[in-house]
Amino acid sequence: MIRAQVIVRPRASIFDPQGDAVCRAIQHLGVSTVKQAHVGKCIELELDGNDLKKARTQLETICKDLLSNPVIEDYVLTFNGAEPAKAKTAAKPVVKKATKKVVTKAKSAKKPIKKVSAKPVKKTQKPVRRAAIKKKKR
Amino acid sequence: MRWAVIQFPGSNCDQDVFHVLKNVLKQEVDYIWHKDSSLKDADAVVLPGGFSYGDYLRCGAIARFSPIMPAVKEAAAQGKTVLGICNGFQILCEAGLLPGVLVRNTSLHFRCETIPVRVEHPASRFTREYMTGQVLQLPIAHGEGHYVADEATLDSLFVHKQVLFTYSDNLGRTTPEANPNGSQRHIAGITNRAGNVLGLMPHPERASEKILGSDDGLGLFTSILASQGVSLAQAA
Repeated sequence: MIRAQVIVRPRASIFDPQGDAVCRAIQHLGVSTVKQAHVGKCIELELDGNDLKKARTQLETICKDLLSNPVIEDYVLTFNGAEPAKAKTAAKPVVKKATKKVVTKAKSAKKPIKKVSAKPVKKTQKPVRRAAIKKKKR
Repeated sequence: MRWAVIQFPGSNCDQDVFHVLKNVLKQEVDYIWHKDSSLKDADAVVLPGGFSYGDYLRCGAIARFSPIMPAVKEAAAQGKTVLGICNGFQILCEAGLLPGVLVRNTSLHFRCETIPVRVEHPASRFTREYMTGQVLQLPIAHGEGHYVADEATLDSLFVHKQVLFTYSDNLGRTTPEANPNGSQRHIAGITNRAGNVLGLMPHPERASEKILGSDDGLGLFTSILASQGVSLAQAA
């Protein structure tokens, strides 16, 4: 599922009587610092599938042809809650952590050690880095 | 002459147009449901006023995608007469058959009254029964009749005599007070470049019988008939 949000706003060059009325109402409330208001609309869309690139092309067409009128309006298209993509990136670190701790402890420990020194000392990453920094300072 | 009156969900002036064409002008008229795809060989198409699709998103924005619209575009391309009144005008703009767009009245008020409208050019298929500068009394009833287009488009509309109607006072002067919706350059009705597609905010069909207060709008329909070689005597 892909979720997208389209914000449609009146173009700056077009007089926006709704925004003007809202602004005046705000001033009637006693808030004189608000000098301008613009009223647009927010359209939220939910799409099947997880191809963001394809969805973007389709939605750009929809925005131009239906959701906004380019003569009077601008739009901003954003994606949020792109669940499949997030799920993939979130799943990888979980697997790595598990393998580090349980299965490939030796392998993961060797890599940072090689960079710093040739001695096969079992140390976690952070102390090694600190030691390296101290050495440089000295 | 055969006419098609398109009915969208939310159209509310379809029966008024049908009545004027059928009973006042004795024309052949068909209602065409928006889900149809054929205009039944109509010589002229009318997109009536109303609130198609509840004016959701923007006026006319959704009606533009109705199944009948390809046939309307084809009729326009063939040079047939296409007339959009009020919401019909908004639909024609959204469909790209006319330039520009209609936005919320500057006053934010829904204006429902009879107002003076000036005829700009009588040399068109929609105005040949009128005179230049003639002031008509026509009803308006809209909340979104403020015509907007960029400066180049506006200039081009006037240069090519596409502006057929403007809002004026009773003496034909286009004063700011006489503009009911803030329309740019007082535009009330425009045609496409070819001159066969007209969109206007005032309702000529509501001013086509004296008993209803004014028959100033009837000239628009008789102009179309005259341009197709149909005389009123023949029609009657």
